[in-house]
Amino acid sequence: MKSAWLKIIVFSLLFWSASRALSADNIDKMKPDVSNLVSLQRGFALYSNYCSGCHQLSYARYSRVAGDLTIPKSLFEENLLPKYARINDQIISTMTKSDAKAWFGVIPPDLSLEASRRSPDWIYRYLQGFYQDESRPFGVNNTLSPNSMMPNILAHLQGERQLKCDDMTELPGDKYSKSSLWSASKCDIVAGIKKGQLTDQEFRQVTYDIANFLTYTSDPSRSDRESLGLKVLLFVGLFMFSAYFLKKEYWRDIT
Amino acid sequence: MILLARVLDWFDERFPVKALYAKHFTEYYVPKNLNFMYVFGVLALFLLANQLLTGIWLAMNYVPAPDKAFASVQDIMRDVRFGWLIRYLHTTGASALFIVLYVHVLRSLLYGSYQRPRELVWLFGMTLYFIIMIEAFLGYLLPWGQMSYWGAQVITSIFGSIPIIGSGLQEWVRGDYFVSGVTLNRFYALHVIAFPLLLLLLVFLHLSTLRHVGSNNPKGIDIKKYCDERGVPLDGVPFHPYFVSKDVVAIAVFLFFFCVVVFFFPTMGGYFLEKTNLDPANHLQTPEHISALWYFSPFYAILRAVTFSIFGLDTKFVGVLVMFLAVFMPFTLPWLDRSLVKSIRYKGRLSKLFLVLFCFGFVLLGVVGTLPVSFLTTVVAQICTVLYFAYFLLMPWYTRYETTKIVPERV
Repeated sequence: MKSAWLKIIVFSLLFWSASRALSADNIDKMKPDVSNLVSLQRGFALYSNYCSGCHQLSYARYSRVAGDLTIPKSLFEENLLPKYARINDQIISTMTKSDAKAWFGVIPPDLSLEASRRSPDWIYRYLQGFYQDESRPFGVNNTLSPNSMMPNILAHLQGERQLKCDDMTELPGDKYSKSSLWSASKCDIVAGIKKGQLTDQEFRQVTYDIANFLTYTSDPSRSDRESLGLKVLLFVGLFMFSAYFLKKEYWRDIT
Repeated sequence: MILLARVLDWFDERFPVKALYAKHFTEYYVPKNLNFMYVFGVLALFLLANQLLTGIWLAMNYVPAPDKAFASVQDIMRDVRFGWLIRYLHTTGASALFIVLYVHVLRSLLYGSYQRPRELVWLFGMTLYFIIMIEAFLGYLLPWGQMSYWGAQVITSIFGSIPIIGSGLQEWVRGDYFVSGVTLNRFYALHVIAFPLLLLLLVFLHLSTLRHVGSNNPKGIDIKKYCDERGVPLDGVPFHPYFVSKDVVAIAVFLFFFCVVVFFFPTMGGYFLEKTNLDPANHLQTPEHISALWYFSPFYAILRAVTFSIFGLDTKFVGVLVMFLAVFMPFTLPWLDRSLVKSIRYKGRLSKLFLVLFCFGFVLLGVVGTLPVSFLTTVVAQICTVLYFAYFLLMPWYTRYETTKIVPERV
């Protein structure tokens, strides 16, 4: 009985560490790290500058973000808090829903849970996946979410990107040929004519920080949860052993 | 201590506290050979208490209104102190309760715990399981996510498939032409008041009938046959302290694994908390693939396995009938098993074979129930549905004609 439980515990720990090691091998996938506060702080600054005009983080609050990201309150209120908001407010956008409908045709999604709904990696690749497409209202399209209504807000950082396809023959009866060619994975994205302010490496870091910040907002209690979890497990583990020895003591005279 | 004894005496004069305690703890004899499969009952009780307590705290902050429900759940997760812990205990608890119940029922199947004289224990237990399924379904609507909404839409449409009275009944259940705020309010009322009360009553009945007939054991031996001069079973040990101390160990071990999930894997890869439920409910947008929660998926797979109609009935209605028959079938088990022995240890090869096939079929149904419909999943679901029913319907035959081993007299 005792050895069986011990085996279960050892094997589940081994399995857990093995699965973590395996996922670390995957190079292309963005691996969020919510303990990297510097990245989260940069991510929030980027979010405030580029995203918060249209998108909301309506379930998150400025004060909580400031606290969790260890940004001093005075610094936060001076530089990161919008003039229309107070520190305990929810992080909402300035654009009204009716304006959004009129300007973009859709209401930009609330990003509070985006990293959980899709994945941090999805956001990371989405932000890198824009390319020039004159057939679209904002002149850009996206490889990950074809015909997305979002303009490439980071274009001046990344520079223009072109979709380069091996075979440019149009697929029959297809309205948006380029995006469907992409989904047939015959195409690749290459640098366009207009250069951006950042190098590829720097731009990847920008998208990483935004995706990382959104990973944090989708599950802000995570670090509290995990640190409390360790203490709880330690307690339950100790309790488990003492309960076991108590039981053994009682059962000693039963044959 | 003297004061405590006097208080106890005061109560005992007016209500038999001491006799009751002796009857159910220190002088309640339990077979000493119970193995680890027997701890899942107390784990279910523990989880039920967890659901009740965390449920009370969730209800303090949850708002059952269609425009506020989703946001109030996010409020609980973010703005309520330890709200995330309370909610994860509740969501993980729901899934854990089903895991524990499935093992608990498997234990009964293995050792014939449903057989005479424990038929009532079994019937109350199965009713409990059925009520817990409804309770879980009602609770799943409350976060008001897309999958909550469309899951409720699909399941309530089951009523609509009944001929003649169907559409009226469906409207009556929903309180509207489709799942709406009215449905949310009534599901909330049922989830937090009506069904928990019913559950408590059934738990009381399940436990009191068990206490009357006593626990079965892995060998299926009646320990009351051999007693000493005081009427104490020779192979029994008092519930307290022996089984109380054992149950505490079981709860501690279980709690360890439970906490690993609650604190480190609360979504359990999308099985305990689904990604698709992170979009607020939208009655204008049907999700591509509506899946059942993992603990319903065996029955959902049976519903989808019926792709034909008989007697001119609607295919969906036939599917619903087969699904309800599948839920109802275990209730008849005590009268289907004609075996002379209780435990699988002494039953014949056929009983073992059918039980293995049944478990295999049930697990496989659970797997295909979570997948999108395809030709392959339909065929697998159909074969497994046959295995599921074969276990019950052929039982009177195979338990009667197989050769059983001789059960020892003593544990």
